[in-house]
Amino acid sequence: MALITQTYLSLLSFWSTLMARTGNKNIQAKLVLLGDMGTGKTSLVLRFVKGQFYDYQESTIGAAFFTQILSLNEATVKFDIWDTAGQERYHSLAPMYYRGAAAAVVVYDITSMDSFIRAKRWIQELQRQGDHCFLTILFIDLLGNPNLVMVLVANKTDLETKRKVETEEGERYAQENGLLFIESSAKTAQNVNELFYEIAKRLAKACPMPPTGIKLHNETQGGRRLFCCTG
Amino acid sequence: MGDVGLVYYLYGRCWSWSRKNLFTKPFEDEREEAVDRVLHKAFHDLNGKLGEVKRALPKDSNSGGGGGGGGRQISSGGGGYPDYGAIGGGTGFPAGYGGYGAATNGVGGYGGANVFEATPEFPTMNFTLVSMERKKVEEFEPGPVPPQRPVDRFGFVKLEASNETVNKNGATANERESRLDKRIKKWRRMIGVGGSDWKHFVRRKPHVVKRRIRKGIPDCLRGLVWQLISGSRDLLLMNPGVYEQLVIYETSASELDIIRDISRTFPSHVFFQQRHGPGQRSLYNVLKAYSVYDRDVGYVQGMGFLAGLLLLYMSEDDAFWLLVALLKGAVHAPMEGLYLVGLPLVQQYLCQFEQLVKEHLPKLGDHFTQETISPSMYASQWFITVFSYSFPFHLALRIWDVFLYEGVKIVFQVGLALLKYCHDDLIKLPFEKLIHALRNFPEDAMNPDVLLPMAYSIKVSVRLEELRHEYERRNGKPVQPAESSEKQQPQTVKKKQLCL
Repeated sequence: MALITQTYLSLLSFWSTLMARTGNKNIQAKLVLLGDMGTGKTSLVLRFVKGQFYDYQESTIGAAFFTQILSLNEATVKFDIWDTAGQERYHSLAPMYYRGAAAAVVVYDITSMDSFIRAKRWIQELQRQGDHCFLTILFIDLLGNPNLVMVLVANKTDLETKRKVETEEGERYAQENGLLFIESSAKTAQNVNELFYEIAKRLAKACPMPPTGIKLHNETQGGRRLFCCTG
Repeated sequence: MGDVGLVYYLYGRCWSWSRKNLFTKPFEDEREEAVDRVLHKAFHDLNGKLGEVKRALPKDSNSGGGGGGGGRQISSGGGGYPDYGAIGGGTGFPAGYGGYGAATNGVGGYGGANVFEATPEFPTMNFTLVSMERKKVEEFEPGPVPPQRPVDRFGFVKLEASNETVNKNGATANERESRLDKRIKKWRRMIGVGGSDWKHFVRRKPHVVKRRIRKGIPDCLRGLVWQLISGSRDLLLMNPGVYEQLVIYETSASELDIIRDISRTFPSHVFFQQRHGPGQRSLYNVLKAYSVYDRDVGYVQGMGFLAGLLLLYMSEDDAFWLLVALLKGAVHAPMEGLYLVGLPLVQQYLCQFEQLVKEHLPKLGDHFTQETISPSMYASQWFITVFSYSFPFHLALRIWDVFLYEGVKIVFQVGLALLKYCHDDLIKLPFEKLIHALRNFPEDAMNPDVLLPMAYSIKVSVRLEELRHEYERRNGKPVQPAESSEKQQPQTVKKKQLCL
């Protein structure tokens, strides 16, 4: 407990010195994308990071990594984005990517009910992870993040005619579980930037409250090891 | 079940009927057999069309294709079929040697027969695929990328004017060509007609074979040699009709997953670009057949890249059996653990790789530890797809040459060589830049003629074996899966396979 308080305080002081120097918050946040295969995770990131869209985006094998910086009035948020492979079989690799994340984006495809069901399962898993860490955080580790910002994204709104999951359905589920909910289209770029801005805003608001998941810019390696390294 | 699945299914059925009616004679020799094998592809597609015409294709597409195909005598048996030649081109050509050559000439690609006879190494395939694509686009729905765009010598749509071929040693085109001719001749002698001398040669001079393979298999012989060194040829010959059986009569729980990934596998290659085109259909068939053949593995994202790479060099059933040979371990240790639940073999390989990095590149290993970089962040797809995913194709092919002959250790070696080559840059980078660099190696690092010799010079075999034992001890039981996964297979396959 003492150790944690100490770490927390040292982080705080580091942050305030940084703040004093720049006059602005610099937040580095790990973000992970989860969801069934072919729901458009990679397309969303590519749209956000590079402004590109491909109709036939190569399947992601393992995971992919991107970075992007968003400047808000109150802070500058640097995203470290882990884009995971969607297929069930790759599930065993996923914890490595969502562990220590500040934000999780769970994506489903509005034309596929299966992908919505899968999204719900992801959210349950993340919540379990959060509970677990909430209980153990004081005693064991800082690996999980009970203040994880979770977003449920209904992607492919450009395929409105083939819609299988109604907006209300997603909305209701998000509300019940305290998630952000956004309908987007990586193809038309609808709501893609909004999605990441919204996350950035939440993170800026939360900072420096949760010590986990959010790392200060120019953070030392020790800090990263504390938050990201997994057993 | 989406319409797509239905279509694929339909077309599979039709294929079986026609095949039963047409091929009742035993094969006379390998040449004949090869002709037949390409032939049945034709009917395969013929019937695919029949199945598909109902929903998507313009009516005149059949006649148009026949003209382009030069399918002559054979295709006249069933009318002209646009995809016919395409299959001959896509598969017979790169592998076109001996039996295959005959097949291609007999069947005819899109006006490709004459080009083929010249047997130049690289342009052959390029030309075939391009012309194929042009032709098809006039007749069918266009692919996602305008096919008029130039493609490289392997059939990938070029992004920009990049380096086409590394003109090594400043040799002129003529010199290179004659060197290439000599190499091909050597290889032909080594292989014999249709692979007849291969086993004998390998037994007598294994090191010569190894040396030549490490220099790269000539592209026009690659498909055939791959089948010989992987043991897939034997599997194919020992299991006649099994592939067709798997494609036609069985259904798989993975079908929808496969369909979702089909158009996302090598999307920049002309052969796989066209929706429901010959490339995508072959890919679907091979993956589906495998998912039936081994239901424990089923279909896993990443297998498509293996199958896709193979299909650019051989026919469907050859590609299928090569996949079987790799995953079930005909020559080397089985790879199926890469795809089983929990990805046990991926975990093992990554663990081994991490240790090797620490031993061979201690400074970089320390740096990785400091930056909390683990191999799973950058190397898992190296193992899962054997570099066929997001690596330059010409490099992937050279790695595959060695991979099929020497086994998975080349993946470790190439991985280490990449890190070694970029060592001085990597060691300075912080976390984010490091990950980026590890996923985007500079172009000069990707030159096979520099990277591969470096890889060969890194000795890993002994240590790999030790590390494997260590890993298995630590994790309780051997990672290599038991035979039980084979119980779903047709009986014949299992028996024959054990003879290997």
